[in-house]
Amino acid sequence: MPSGCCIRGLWILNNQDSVIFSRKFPVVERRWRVACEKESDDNFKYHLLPYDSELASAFADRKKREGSARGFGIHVSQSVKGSDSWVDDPITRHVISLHINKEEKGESNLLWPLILHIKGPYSILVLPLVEPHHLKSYSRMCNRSDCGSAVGADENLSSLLLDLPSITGAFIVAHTIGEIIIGEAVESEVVAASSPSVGGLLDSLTGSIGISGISARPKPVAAPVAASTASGTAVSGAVMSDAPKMGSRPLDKDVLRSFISSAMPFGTPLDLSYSNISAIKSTGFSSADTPPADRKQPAWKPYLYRGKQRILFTIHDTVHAAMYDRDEIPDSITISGQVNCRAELEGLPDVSFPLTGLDTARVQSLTFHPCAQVPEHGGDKQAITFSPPLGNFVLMHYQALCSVGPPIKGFYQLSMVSENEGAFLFKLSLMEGYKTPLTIEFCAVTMPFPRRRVVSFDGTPSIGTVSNTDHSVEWKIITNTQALLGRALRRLFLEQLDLLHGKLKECLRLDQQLEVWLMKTVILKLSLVVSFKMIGPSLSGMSIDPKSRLKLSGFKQCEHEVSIFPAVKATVEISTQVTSGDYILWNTLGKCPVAATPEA
Amino acid sequence: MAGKLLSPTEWESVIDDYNLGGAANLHRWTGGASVVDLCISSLLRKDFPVQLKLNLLTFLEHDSLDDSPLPSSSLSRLIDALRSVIQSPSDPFALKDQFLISTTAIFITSLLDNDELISGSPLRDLVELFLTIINRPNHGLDRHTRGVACECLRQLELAFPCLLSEITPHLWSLCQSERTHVSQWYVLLLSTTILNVVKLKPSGTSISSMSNATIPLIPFSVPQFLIDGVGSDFVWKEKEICYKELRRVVAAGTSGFFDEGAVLMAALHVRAIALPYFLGIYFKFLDSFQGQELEVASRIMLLSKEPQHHLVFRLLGLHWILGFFALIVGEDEAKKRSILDMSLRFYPTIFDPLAIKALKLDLLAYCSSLICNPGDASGLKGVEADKGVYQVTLFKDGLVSVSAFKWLPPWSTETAVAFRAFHKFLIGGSPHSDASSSSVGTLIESDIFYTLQVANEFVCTAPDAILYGLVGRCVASEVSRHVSLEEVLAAMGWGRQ
Repeated sequence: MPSGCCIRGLWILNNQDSVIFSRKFPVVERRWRVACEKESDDNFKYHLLPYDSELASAFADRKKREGSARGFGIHVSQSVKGSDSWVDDPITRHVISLHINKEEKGESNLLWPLILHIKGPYSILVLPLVEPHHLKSYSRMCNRSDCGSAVGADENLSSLLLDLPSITGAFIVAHTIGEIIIGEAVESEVVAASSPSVGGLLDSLTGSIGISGISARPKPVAAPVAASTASGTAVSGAVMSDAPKMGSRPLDKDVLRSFISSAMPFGTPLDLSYSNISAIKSTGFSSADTPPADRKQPAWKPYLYRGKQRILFTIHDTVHAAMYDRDEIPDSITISGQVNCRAELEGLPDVSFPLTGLDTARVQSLTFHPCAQVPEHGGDKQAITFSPPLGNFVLMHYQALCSVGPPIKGFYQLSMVSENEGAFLFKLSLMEGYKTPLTIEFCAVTMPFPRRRVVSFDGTPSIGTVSNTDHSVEWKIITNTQALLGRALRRLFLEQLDLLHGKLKECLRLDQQLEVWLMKTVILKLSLVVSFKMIGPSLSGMSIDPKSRLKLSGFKQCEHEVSIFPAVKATVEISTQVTSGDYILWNTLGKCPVAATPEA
Repeated sequence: MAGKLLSPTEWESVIDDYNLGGAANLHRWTGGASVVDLCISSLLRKDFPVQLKLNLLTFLEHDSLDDSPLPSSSLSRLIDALRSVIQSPSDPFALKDQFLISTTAIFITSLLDNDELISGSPLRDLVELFLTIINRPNHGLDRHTRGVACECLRQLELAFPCLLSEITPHLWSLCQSERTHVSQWYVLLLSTTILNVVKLKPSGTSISSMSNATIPLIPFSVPQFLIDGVGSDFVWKEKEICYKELRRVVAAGTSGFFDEGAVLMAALHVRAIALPYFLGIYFKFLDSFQGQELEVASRIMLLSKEPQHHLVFRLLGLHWILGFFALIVGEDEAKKRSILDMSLRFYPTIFDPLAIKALKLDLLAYCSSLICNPGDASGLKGVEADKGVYQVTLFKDGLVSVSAFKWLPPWSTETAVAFRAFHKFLIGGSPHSDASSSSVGTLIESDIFYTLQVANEFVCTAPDAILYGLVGRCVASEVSRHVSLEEVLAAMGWGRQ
């Protein structure tokens, strides 16, 4: 049995639970059949892959049994023996099993591990090849009397998953397919400091978004932490609503078929780069596309760039903060970020540049694109060398502590003066202690009332404007891009929004029981969500230093410290931006979620 | 019997019907005629749209799964059709590529179920066609199709091991010549072929040297040992092939892959997503990685902390750690100790999604379960007390992250996660594989249990259903085989009986 990833089949269902696309891979399926026949016994034998109608009805059954498409995830009183939530593990919201009932034979056939990825209105199911004993093991686990949850027990889900790298591969396939069918298969954004001048061969080939304008990036969505599990699973509260949203695009099956035939013709993923594959499919090759004379062209660069040469870097910090303004709870501020790159360079050059801010005391993790080479050990400053692929790509991801104070701090108080009326006060200081010139593109704070409707509010901000939607009040502090220097920055330090009165009305769509509960408790835990975006120095301290020079053997020194080998003349543009991720000020008068911080 | 020709619209319905309910639905369309023959006629029609032809090819592949193996005559017809499409200047590459793929898939499923066909001409003709396609290195226009043909050959080699063993020198030379982006496909084909040669050691091969081919690439003939029966007498004959040369070829193709663990660890920093595959290698060569366990664990832990990864990869990362610990820990006190030293890193953070928090709590419960003797925890980082205090610290600290259950509705997921964690701490801390009557005492007298007893807020806020559920699970579990429901309830002091 191969240790790599092989896919037996994949299915895409719409939000009416009908299969709208399916693909089975006979070569892989045959391997499964042979393996099953070797290990078959009274309880286990080979079953044909289900037809679309059988799969759809099994999926609908599971949805009914498990409460939603994803399922409960953990063992709840409704959990049924033999079902996924019986196993009592959140991963069963992503790696699911289906019981296929063969009508004529009256027997049930267990399909596992099915990778479930929900994208827009679609549920994507991918079935990787495993060994029969894996399936038998899972089957035992979901039928165990104690719902199999002792950590470190002899047969446990963790050990099983560790033995199945194909699950990871299948997820990558599912995610790529999700992006294709939704039409989101775009590259990471690289912001150019100068006005964009896209064109030439590259963009038409990669179908890329080009160098998108700064405003193209959507503002972070305001959401309270209790519901901030937006990235995936277990939504807090009993309402585990993960019903897919309605989509507007019909599924383009031809695009999908063509992708599959290139990316995984026999079910074994070979290359999942959608931009490359679609370029090859739509453009093909001409006799003018000659391979380089001295080197082999890598698989990830099927075309070579021709035109004006330049290279762009964007350092992008995202700040996550939980601010409490309480003595007993420390604030938590972390930064996750990435360096995006786009290298419009002819041939197959290597690029090297010095990256500062890698101090291990502050940087918690670093992950590089496969094209990069990084010295194994190094200090705060290291030379990164890479052979860039086509188009925009994320050169590295990092996680770091904030090297300066938080960009926005202050406190927020909300108390209810009557059942339907509240008084708010919040006081913020922006960019306190920041000296370097920076540009703030926008800055806003939002008071979300996810379960309530704001009827009216009253209050005068000392700067900016206040407005409300049905479920939130938003204070736009800075709406137009402002370049801020020392004095203007200081002026922002102590801005105060005076008492703001809001009247709240019951939201009719809530169920009675939940509403009663919320009246008692949840109203006190509301938080203030801050969103902002600024262009300026990174808060993580990550930078490509424009002044220093780095001695690199084998690399010719260019005017820029970014060096390209073989040496060519290319413009280098570097920009930095900081945006808010989950940036939340908790109501000091209410309840708030916390996490214990271990004493290092 | 030749069936009637189906129109494009009819084919659409055939395919839809088939996908929905399988081959049983086909008869009314085909009238008993062979589906393959009907498809082939349609595939050769110039007036049929390309997209439909692509669908027909996938349909044929799917049908090969539940239909009986195709007879030699159908396979020959399929090859003829394939050849005419490949040679046609007007057919687009997309159709050619898919035709190559589908034909290969159909061949593999049909031939494997009918050994007699291996010696027949269809397989030889198919391989020969592929070899003709790939034997034009650096040719511009059809480069992608050449890559696809390489992959088709590779699949045939995987299905019929050592099918291409005799022409390995040619493949090696093609690999060296090819410089376009499909060169990797050539390398993949070559390495699969070599792997099979090394693994199965076919006798009777006529490879004398990798650099000197003794037989021509075309015409191709299926090796005699395959016709005689796969794997019947594969004996390595060292003289027949230069082993050193093979090593050199492998080294050129996969340079640096077999380096030491430390290098692989460095590579891990490059690509977190390669982790599961690295772990696979790790477990195969466990001894070579002695002393690097914690570095591996730390790296996996980072994966779970990196927010750029989709939630599921972070969850998988936490599972791998749990599975990994279970594998390495054994009875080794030093390893236990180093895992316990890591425990502070498993604390849930404020922005962790609830699913991550749940699994991190599992990790803490695991750490808690590692402590068997009262003295085990002394001297651990951040812990100055004995076993019980340490376990309770882990439990309390962990629980803080889901403490919102205290003010969320009792049916909230936080509440369920909190009680799930309680259950894990309780169960994890007691011997579970050899449950004996003494475990009753262990369970009820455990410090965690005691903590919960006094943690009134915890108990009071829990809805009855959750409490009953929890107790039910405790009782059902192997651990407390000897504990009655009444005992547990009484010990918890809830007095619900």
